Amino acid sequence: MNTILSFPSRDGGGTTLTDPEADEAELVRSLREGDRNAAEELVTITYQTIYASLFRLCGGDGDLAADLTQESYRRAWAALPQFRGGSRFSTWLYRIAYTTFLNHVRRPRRVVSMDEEAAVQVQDSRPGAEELLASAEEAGILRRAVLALPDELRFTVTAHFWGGLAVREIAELEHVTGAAIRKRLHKAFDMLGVTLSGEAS
Amino acid sequence: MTRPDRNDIERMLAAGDAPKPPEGLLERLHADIPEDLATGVKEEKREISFWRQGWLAAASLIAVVGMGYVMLRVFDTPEFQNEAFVAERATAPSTETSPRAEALSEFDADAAGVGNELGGTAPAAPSSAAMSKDFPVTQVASDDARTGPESFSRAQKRQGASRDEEYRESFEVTGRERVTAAAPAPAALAPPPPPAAAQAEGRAGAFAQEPANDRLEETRAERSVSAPRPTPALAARTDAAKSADRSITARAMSTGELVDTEADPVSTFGLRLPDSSWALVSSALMNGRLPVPESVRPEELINYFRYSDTEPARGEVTLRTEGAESPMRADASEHLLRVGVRVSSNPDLAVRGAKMQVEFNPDSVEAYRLVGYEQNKGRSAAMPQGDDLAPGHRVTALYEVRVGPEVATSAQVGTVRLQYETGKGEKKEVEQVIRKSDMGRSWSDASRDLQLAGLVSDWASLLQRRGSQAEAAALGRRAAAVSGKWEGDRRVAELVDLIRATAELLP
Repeated sequence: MNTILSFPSRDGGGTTLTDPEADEAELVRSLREGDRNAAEELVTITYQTIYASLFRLCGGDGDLAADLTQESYRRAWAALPQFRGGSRFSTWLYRIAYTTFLNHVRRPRRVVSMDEEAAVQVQDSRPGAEELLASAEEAGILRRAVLALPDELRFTVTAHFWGGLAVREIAELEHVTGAAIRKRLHKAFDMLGVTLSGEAS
Repeated sequence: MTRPDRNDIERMLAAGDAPKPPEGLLERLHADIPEDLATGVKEEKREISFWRQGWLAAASLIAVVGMGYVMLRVFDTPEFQNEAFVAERATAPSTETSPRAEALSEFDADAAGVGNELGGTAPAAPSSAAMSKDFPVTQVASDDARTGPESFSRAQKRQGASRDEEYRESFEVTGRERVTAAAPAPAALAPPPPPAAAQAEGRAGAFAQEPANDRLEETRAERSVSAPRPTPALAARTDAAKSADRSITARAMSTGELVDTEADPVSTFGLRLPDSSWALVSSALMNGRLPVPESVRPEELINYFRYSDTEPARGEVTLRTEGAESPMRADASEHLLRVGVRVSSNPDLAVRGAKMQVEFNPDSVEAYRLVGYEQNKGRSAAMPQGDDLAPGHRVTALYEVRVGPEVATSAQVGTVRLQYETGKGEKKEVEQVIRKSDMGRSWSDASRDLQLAGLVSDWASLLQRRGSQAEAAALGRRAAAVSGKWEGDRRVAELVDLIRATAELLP
């Protein structure tokens, strides 16, 4: 039920013995000193989440998600000097991936439209054809509804649910309080509820 | 189709496994890492960034100090609001003027005060005669969300009592409570006992059993001896705030009926609940305020979580019951029972007109209480046709059950029945018998689901009563233990945060 991604932890860590946040900070320090291994390690621990969130943003287009993941990391390396460590590296990276996605769909040669329903790629590993189709359709409807949200809410919802960012991490990125993020989520749920009930009827 | 609620949307957003990245992507990403990574992090830039950070730090410090001041002001506001709230209640005409009612209300108010001051230790129960006789009054109170004037007026009359006196009284009450707890009051058998007393009894003993209890009492004793005399203005405000707490607590504690099984063995609960309570409670706490007690609805908070009830292997629904000795028990008779329903996730198997019924066996169960549903109480009655349940729908109800003495382990405690119609109009009934042996586990051996539901229920009670910080701290320790079994669950992590916030906000 809960889609728990390996990274980053949604509860912000602190209770486990191995603290991913601390590990990450250590890697970023080494990275700044030019340690290539640290960079590789950072990619290894972050890319699955970045790919997964882009996969959902792209409506299940795996190839596009992979391309955008690659582009996101290129941008991140270029922007590295600007990374001041005010947030977690992964959080900062998510923001870059999100912007990369938005830039992509706003391009004239766009492949994935935010208005049109994208073809949803079905994963073979999941059993039950009917259930699969139903959930794929549901995912498509949901994605359209999410992408139609105002930017502030859209970013919050996708970062939290698809990017695996904790409320606190989004709050840091957005320079607001955790409560403000929760409010955004509630507002988004309300709007999604209205949109989805309209869709269904 | 009905509008999907917050839970549905959260479920949809979180649905599906994380997609696996394609093969070769990681290698491509590694290959893309530039040769000169340190470029741009040159010394002079670092220096600039250092100065910039210095300025930022200074600005942040100023902002933090400013925010602190603002927060202090904001923090004060709810108490002022409470005063207004109480004043409004106080001016409302009193509906009950009988001496009995007053006596009971005073008892309620006392219970509230004691609960507030002593972290949930229970007051002495009044005589069984008084309890049964006064029940209708309490019943009225439990039915009406706007009751409380009489409790308040009594509480107000007591304002004159000095703090020291009240503390002394509290200690006396605690002493008596221990006796009561050791020998369960026969009052529990008198139909029907007053909810306040029963609830106090149930809730209270628990904290008496907390390991930190001695330390807490020490703190209280210190407070009672060395608390400096407040200035008259402050004293007036403190008293008003205290009365506010009492009036709120008295009302909250008089709801949630303990039902005598002889009188009414059958309990029902609505299978579809609103979900606004979690949003209200969490946003209040995250904004540094205690939620308005009326917004705290235990059944909705309990249902915010995703229990491990499995999807039906066959048919439309699964019914799961589990019980254990209550962590809040005043004596060994107190148990908690969780009833979990999960509807088939197959959209072809619709569930219509679903009605839930829990029938307790009077030979085994003395009394029971459905946790929450004070404000959603009428839902079942108002919907005799039952509820239509969407695929994937889940609901959990929690009962406090007082099992009688010398009940054999094989004895039947109750039966849970769910009646519904399938999409094809076929009438079905799922039934599950609960035996004493299903309920007899110790709390530490209870499933993580039951432990979580019990924790949420106690937290809700704490918020409704506006209990003490010490209680919240004790709950925080329990939360830490429970959350260990729910590692990775975002909602449980959120709960732990909110319980922590509760502890910071309670007096």
